[in-house]
Amino acid sequence: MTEPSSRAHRGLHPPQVTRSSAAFTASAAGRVARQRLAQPNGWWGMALFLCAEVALFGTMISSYFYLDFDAHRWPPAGIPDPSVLWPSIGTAVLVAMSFPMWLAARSAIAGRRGRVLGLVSGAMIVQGCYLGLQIILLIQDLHKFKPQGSAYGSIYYTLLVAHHAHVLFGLLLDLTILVFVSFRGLTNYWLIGVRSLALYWHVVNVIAVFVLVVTLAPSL
Amino acid sequence: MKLPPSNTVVWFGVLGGGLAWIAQFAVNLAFSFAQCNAPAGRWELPVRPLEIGLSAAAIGIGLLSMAVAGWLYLYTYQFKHVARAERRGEGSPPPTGRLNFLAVVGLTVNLLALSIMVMTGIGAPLLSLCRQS
Amino acid sequence: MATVITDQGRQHVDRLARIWEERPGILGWITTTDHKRIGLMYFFTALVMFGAGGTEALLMRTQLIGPNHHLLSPEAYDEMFTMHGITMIFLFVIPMTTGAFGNYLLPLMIGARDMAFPRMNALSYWIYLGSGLLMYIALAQGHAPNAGWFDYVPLASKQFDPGNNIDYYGYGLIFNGISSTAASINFIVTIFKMRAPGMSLNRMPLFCFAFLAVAFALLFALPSLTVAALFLELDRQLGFHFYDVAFGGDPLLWQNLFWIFGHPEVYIIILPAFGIATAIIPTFAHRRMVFFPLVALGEILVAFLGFGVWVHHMFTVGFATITTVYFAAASLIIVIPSGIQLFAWIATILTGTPDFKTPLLFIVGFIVYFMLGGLSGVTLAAIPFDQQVHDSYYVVAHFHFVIFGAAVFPILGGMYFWFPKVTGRLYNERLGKISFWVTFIGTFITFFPMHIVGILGMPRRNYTYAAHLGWTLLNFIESIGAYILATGLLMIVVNLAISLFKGPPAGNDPFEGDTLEWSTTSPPPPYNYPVIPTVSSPYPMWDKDDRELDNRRLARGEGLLELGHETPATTAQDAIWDEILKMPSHSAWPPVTALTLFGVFFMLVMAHYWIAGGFLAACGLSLIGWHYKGVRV
Repeated sequence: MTEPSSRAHRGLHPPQVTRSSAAFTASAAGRVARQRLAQPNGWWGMALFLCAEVALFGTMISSYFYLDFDAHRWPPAGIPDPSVLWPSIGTAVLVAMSFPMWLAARSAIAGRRGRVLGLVSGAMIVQGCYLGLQIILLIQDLHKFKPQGSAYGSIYYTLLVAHHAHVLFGLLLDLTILVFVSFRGLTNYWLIGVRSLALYWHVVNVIAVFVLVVTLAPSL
Repeated sequence: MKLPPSNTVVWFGVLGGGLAWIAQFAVNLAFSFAQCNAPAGRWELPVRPLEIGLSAAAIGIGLLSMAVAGWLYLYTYQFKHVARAERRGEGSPPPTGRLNFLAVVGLTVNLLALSIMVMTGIGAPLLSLCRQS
Repeated sequence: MATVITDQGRQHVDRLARIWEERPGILGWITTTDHKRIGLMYFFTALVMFGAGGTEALLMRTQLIGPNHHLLSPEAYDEMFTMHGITMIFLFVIPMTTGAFGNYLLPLMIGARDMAFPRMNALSYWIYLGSGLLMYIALAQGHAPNAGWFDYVPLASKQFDPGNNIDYYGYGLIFNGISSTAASINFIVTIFKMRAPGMSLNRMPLFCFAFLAVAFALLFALPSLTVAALFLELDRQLGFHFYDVAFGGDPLLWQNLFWIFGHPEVYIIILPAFGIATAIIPTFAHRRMVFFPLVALGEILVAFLGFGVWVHHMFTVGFATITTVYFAAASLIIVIPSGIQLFAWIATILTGTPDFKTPLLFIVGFIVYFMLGGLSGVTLAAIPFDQQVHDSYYVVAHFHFVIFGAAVFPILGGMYFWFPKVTGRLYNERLGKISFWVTFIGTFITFFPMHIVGILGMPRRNYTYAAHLGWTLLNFIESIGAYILATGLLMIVVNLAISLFKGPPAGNDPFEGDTLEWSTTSPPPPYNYPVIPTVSSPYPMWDKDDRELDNRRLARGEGLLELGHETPATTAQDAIWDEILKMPSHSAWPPVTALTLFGVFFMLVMAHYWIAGGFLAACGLSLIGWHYKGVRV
């Protein structure tokens, strides 16, 4: 039986190995990105950071149910069941922004700087509208019940605000990428930044679905 | 099974049982909290069938994962540089050496995860529901 | 064999030395991103923290040397045991193992020139320093945390602890957690992507497996602590109700969240010690580790299974048996991977030709204490027994055997082992052996009687005890033991301090070590290796052919990566050479960012939220500055 070999056991002096940080133009950076065998370090860093964030939300969601299991009534008497329609529409729109983000990452790998800028700015506007909608819904909820009134209020608002904070951080990342890719160009460094940004949004969008389902659970 | 094995298959053989254990214990834990912490049994769950069903499914995945790890071990062992005792599992050139090493890891992880799943899968249904420990 | 430098090689080495030259003076240290300098900063800071935590311990032992003493008031005693726990766990042992040993040695052991994210590495250190300062500012103000390191509610709630003692702790934990999270991301990416070409997973030294396990455990455990502390501070400062029963909250939520972090934390404490042991044993036993794959997987498995046992710290809270059974089962099974490693270490020593120099003596001490501490741990996994001895000194005895005996002994052994590599000088062997015996005996005398006094009923965290309870003699013995232990530790410090100035030159490889750091000079040059090493086993220094090949490559000028601050990146599983990375060198952004974050957390403690927000904005600007020039800092 022939022994399996990985895609390329290149030995110690591989000719195809690139000095990736020397790729200062979009086309050079794209070429480096397509040639790589493994994910770049910056992407790995973002992926691992997101593992910690998933654990964070997993813990908060578990805490939600832990308090739910303790309660006689959930939500407590006097607090209305959460409304379903607008939060669901908002979340669906946010999740849909994974598609332009994915396209932006692919465009970056193809070395298409203009497309990257267009896709990220478009997604950013929609994500900003989503955040605006969520803030309005939050203020409406605050008129009905406060976090200081019950354990339900405490966990409900904390879970939602934690998620919104991640969306806000994502918007700031969007802005940073737009500014730097515009002024510095799509270098190797910023190409990895675009790919990491796309990954960030994919995970935040998945978390958004879970947060939605959990916060709406009493109404479902 | 396709040769050489894909990454997904290899890592299922390494981690499948461990992940099944996490799922079995986390979900059963949630069921036990829901059933026993809640005042006046707000969450009326069929805890016994859920416990047994989930444990059975998890043990099944663990056994499958162990079978994959075992197959991977036998498959890599046939290559001379892996079988030579002094180098087995350590130092053998990749990818076969690395695959053999991962197979050993998978076999052990699965064995221990299965032990826990079997112990709790049998033990939990035998215990009285919601009796304080 | 060490790298031999010919005349042709000399020009390449000189060129690398010029490229990687460290900035001089104190500014050089503040702006450094070199993993070795960062490791040294962690080392000395952690050592100071060890002194602080040790002083807190000695004060407690002096208080308890006899019944009804009043050296410390009850309130002061509360602060002592709390700060002792916080300091030893968050400010000494984790930074010492991951920050000092991990940072210094990991890139050297995998044949890299630096960590994957050098600037984030520096940030981790400065944040750690900031979190230590934050906690000790609390002590200096007389508002030290005082509800135990585990900080249970309702004692830690605003109603029963109204000052800002607990706020320092809650925010301090979140702040410290950022340091460790960043460090763990750095470790994982470094281990996966920066190994020398050819160092596939099955050819990675066991030390690296231990640190990979630690990093993953930290990454997944810290969020639970962050959430717990966040909920606590929201309760305390903004009047939320996660933990109070009157509004539907649950104090057990704190316990669960804390121990979901807290149990993996104790494995995070012990795993680097396993890593250090597995580095020292093959060297001094002069043979490869027995059952290499099983030892490697044992290290990973302990971290993995450690996430499923946390309720064993809560066997007395009244959970149903169908809840606790999962944790009892996992707590029993987790003994097995630890046991596999233990037998492998012992077998390696017995089947090798052991040379009982000081580092190996400390490892033997570690094995003894790990065995004894592990046995008392197995007894605690049995729910009925645990319910009898919960909150007694039996538990204190168990965890000090495993934390001090089994986590700190390898740190002390590791300090001796790598002292020649880091300083270029040899320590005094005779004084080293004496310091081991004094420390070993002191540890035993201090902590063994605690098993007995615990079973006799002495509870934890009591500031004194009555004379007629039969605990007096045992407490007296423990306190004498503590002074002996302190003497032993001082002897170690004195030995190393004197040897630093007067020790004979060590050379590259005084112990015939097995891993790559022994191939380079003592101390290593800033670029670590002139040539990216050739690797074909987990014991690269014992592969003579590979080391000779490296010498020939240096003479030929191959594999030098001398066009800047360069190091290779390889694939995660098989370490196939993938790209050449440019590393940043000096940068002021990490200390500046850490300073802004210190401002954020200090202001949160003071409940000045708007000012905290201002510091957060400053942090954001600092991060923009960080990325402004990419890696061209």
